[in-house]
Amino acid sequence: MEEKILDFRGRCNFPALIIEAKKLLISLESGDRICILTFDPNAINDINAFCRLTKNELVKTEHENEEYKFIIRKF
Amino acid sequence: MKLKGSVDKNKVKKRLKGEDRKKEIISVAKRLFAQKGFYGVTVDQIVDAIGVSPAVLYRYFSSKESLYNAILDEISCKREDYIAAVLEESDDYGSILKRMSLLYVKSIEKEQDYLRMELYSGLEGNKAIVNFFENRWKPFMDLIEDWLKEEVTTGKLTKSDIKSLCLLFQGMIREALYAKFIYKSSYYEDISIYDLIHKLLDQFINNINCIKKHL
Repeated sequence: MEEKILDFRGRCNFPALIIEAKKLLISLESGDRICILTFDPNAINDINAFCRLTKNELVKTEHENEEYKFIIRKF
Repeated sequence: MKLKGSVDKNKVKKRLKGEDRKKEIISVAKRLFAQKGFYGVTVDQIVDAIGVSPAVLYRYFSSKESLYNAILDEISCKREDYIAAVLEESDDYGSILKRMSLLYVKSIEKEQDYLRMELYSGLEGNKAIVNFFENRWKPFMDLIEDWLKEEVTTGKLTKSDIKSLCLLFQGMIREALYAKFIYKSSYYEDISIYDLIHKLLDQFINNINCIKKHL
């Protein structure tokens, strides 16, 4: 199982995060994971919607200080 | 003969179910806010237009502000719709910008009161409301910024260049919407809003592709 990191800390999140998450997931095998790091609280809703629409699984959401971490497993 | 304790049927507002009443309040208030702005409309004017008491309005909305926000939430294009537009087939920045813009235009075409409310918000200067409308443009600005991030990193473009491009985009879309839905300009009556937006976006995207190619 492979895990790739998408670091969006200090970057504009939407829509770039969605574009890059989509591209990255396409390059991975089923069961592989991506870890997204961001400071943007809007990412919670965006990533939930992204997983719902693409049918990938949001495995974990963490929030510590100002940082958000999301783990998505490819369907 | 009117009996003691009876009620004049003509004066009784038909009792609506909760959700229907809420929808009616939003619909009437939206029309009034679009005609007179946030400060130009009182709660009394809204309830008078519906024919209910203020208590009925406050049952659903704690204040005029919360009613106004509920209207904005209802008529604004939803973030999830933008995400769905981003996820569609072609994922070059120009195509994504086009899909997002057309989604925005479609939502305005459906709810033209939104444009009037946006105009009023600028004139009235309520910071929270102005911020709300400004934030609706943010995904577009962020997309343009991300599209040209390489040119900024390498020093070929400055942040001011990016901001002027963002304003060019915002101005062109907004002006097209005003021309069609606010001024109803006769000069543009033979072209649909979608044709107009497509052509404007093609020129804008060509311009950015030219910048990327020749810098």
